[in-house]
Amino acid sequence: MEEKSSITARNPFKDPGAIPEGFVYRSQKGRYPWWVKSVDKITTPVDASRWERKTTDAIQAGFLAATLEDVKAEHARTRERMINKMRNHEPGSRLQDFALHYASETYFAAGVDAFTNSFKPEFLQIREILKTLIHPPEEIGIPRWEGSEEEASAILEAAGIHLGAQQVGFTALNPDWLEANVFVDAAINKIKTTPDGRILIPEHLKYVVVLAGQLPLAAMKRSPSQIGDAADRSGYENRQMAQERMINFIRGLGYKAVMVPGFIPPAIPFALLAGLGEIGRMNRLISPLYGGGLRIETILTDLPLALDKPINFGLQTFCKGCKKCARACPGNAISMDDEPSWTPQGPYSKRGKKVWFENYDRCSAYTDSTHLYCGACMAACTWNKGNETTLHSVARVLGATLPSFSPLMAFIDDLFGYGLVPKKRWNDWWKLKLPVKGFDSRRNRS
Amino acid sequence: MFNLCLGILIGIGGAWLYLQPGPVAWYAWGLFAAGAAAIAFGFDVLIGSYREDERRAAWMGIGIFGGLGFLMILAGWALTF
Repeated sequence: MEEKSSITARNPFKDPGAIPEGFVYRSQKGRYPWWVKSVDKITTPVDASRWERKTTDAIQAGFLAATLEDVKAEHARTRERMINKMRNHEPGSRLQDFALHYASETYFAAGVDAFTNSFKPEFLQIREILKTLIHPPEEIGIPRWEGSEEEASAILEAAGIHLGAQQVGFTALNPDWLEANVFVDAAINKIKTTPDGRILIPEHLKYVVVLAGQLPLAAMKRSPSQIGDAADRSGYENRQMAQERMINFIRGLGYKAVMVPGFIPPAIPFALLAGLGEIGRMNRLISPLYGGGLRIETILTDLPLALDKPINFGLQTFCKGCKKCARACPGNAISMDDEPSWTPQGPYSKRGKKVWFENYDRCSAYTDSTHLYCGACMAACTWNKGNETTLHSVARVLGATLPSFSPLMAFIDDLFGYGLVPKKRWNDWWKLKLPVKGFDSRRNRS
Repeated sequence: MFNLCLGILIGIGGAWLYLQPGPVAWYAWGLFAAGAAAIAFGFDVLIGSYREDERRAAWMGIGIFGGLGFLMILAGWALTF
């Protein structure tokens, strides 16, 4: 391991891919259908001896690159191409599609104006204002909420669903999943940043709440377009609003709750440990209930929680043969190899995990040249299905129990026309009778 | 509503078959039952897929499962009457 993350604190994870010791676990019975197995270790192989922590990831590098003059000029040219598409009323790129895309991220207060590639720090003040809208029990002179770990997890899950999350899971903080400049320190009580740029997390914030925000499927399948981007942005906004609300809920119970610190804090490792899904060929989380159409957010808290366990629904075998996301990628950025690899692709990938690494340079080249977020890989995933026909229930059972037959299943999936919607039908989205926010949150719960 | 209509139709079909004067062989009953299930499944795919805006899946579903069900009922009919 390159650099141990804990400064003075004990790392409860002996094996970075396995559930930690010294915690209470809640029953996983009834959490998923029978074909999703609860396991003690994530299905992605992790090698602690090769593990690598980074501060600069692909997205951060993109932001930094956006400050260079030549990159700015290229973005300006790309924007002009996009505006020309609007003028020419191209499917999925008309003014109304464009307006929908940017309206979908109205409250996505990440501080980045994606159209102009400019950072707006005022957005971050919104998060500070939101915190003033809750009144913790110590402020109003009553004792804080008390209950068992299982009770705490149960009310947080119920609250999370009410507050807009599609899935809620719980795990513990593994300091080695954090960015390279973020550490756990047993000697402090509050998160603090040192003069040399290190961010220190107090040890008592050891529980992680993982929330998933869903993307609207019908819009997502119209990727890569402005309509597809509207789906992508609303997924981000769904997860972020659920996160802000959940932070306030936990604070309202009388406990501390903060975002995982860092520039782009990692989310997928925690989602894997909390059993929200497995990593698929596209090197993103795939949920057995929602497929690839999820965005993940995490919260650190000192409220003692009963943790969840990772899951296995055969995805590591399924993805070997399916390759539907790789075929759908317009930038040829997704690996077509049969087997995952320990070897990272390019400077942005992190070592120490065996996955199908995506070629970020190709992905970025495509999204930069189109000024779209794309998301075609997530939209094409075979596991993205609605809840309106029994066919999907049968297919999910077969996918999980007979994953070696995934080439045949991908063929049938294509035969039935599932996956990305052809360009000629992109504009039809405006005529669809869709549920509120575009997704059926009952999906696969029946 | 779809499930209700389907249940009534299958009930009428089964009652009609039961009331036939001659004996109906067990394998014919099996073919009729499997055929009815396949047709019901085909309609489930047709209607559900249209709700999901998956038009091709809708017609593939009724074509494959409905067609299979129709052939099974046809075979049962030929063996019985």
